Amino acid sequence: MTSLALLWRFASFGILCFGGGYMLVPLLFNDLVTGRKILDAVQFGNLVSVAQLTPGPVGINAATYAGFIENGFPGSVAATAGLVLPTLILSMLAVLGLHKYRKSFAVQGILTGVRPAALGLVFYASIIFLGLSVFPGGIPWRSFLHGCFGDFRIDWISLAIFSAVFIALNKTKISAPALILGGAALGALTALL
Amino acid sequence: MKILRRCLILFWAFAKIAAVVLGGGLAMLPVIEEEFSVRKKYLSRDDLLEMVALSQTVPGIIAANCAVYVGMKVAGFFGALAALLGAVLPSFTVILLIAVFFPRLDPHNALLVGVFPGVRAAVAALIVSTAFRMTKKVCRGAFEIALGAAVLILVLNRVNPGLLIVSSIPFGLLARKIRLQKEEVQ
Repeated sequence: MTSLALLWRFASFGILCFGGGYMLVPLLFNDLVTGRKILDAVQFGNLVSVAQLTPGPVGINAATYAGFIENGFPGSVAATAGLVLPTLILSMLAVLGLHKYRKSFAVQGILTGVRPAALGLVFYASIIFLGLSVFPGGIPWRSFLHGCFGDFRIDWISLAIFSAVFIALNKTKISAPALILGGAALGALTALL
Repeated sequence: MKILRRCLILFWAFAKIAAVVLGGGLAMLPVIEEEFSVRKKYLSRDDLLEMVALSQTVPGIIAANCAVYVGMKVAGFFGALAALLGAVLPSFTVILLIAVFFPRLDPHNALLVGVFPGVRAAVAALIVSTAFRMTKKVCRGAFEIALGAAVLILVLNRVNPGLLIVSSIPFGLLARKIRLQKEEVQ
């Protein structure tokens, strides 16, 4: 993909990111994995993992990486610039006076529709990542639909890390990045044993 | 000259924030408050509240939304550019270095083989709890649940997620109108 096409594509992703950078996960997955098949699901999972493990906004990290995979250095510049371009324009307009329309019917109506849609997509991202960790054979419901368990299986180590991080996130004040580093350490430890 | 100085301050502050605050999003809020409201009196409390509200209304990376907002308030258009560049540059540089050495994302190194499944499991937990937290915030009625579920089912059946976001807008406008009418009746 040329850099100009990348700029355009990531600008369209940027304008669709309602509710922050996590929205980029379903959009990118649809493009890179199910759409153009540039990465397989595990490579995609690793991309998001790197984006999550490195400092800075997850969305920016993921866009830079994806852009590099597609077209080297110019690609990463184009993808990152594209992702923040709509934000730059819209936020500037908002400060310049459009913020008084925040409570208007049009803006509130758009948000009423877009927020639940974004929620559906975050659940989709959850399913993608559960399939990349806890359920390596795919998510159970497809097996249920076909009346058999297919190659459904549970990765018990992943399940343990998943549960530990999930509980810690919701019951303690440990920050998310610290927990992800913890997950990395646990994973490495089990690989060594 | 004053603008240039302020742009440099903005660039440097957001570069620092982006380089240190892992995870992004509203995790940077207390740091922004410390940097621009407590130490330097560029932003008032109301400005900060407005920033949070806007960063969640305007689509895009939340951290970038905040950077543009603060930059705009402190030093206008060039301030917005400087702050955004600051917020982006550390991430960009670090990822670029990693991507150069690790371009295809399939690790064969024994240690990395273990690290990545561990991180993927942790990221799964993070995304699942984000989904639950969002559910509590977003789902105010049957409309939100139905639309969210419909989007999930459609995207699982290979419908383009971007298309789904755009198509949800007319439904949202309709639901909003019906709700406003109901409120008027009451």
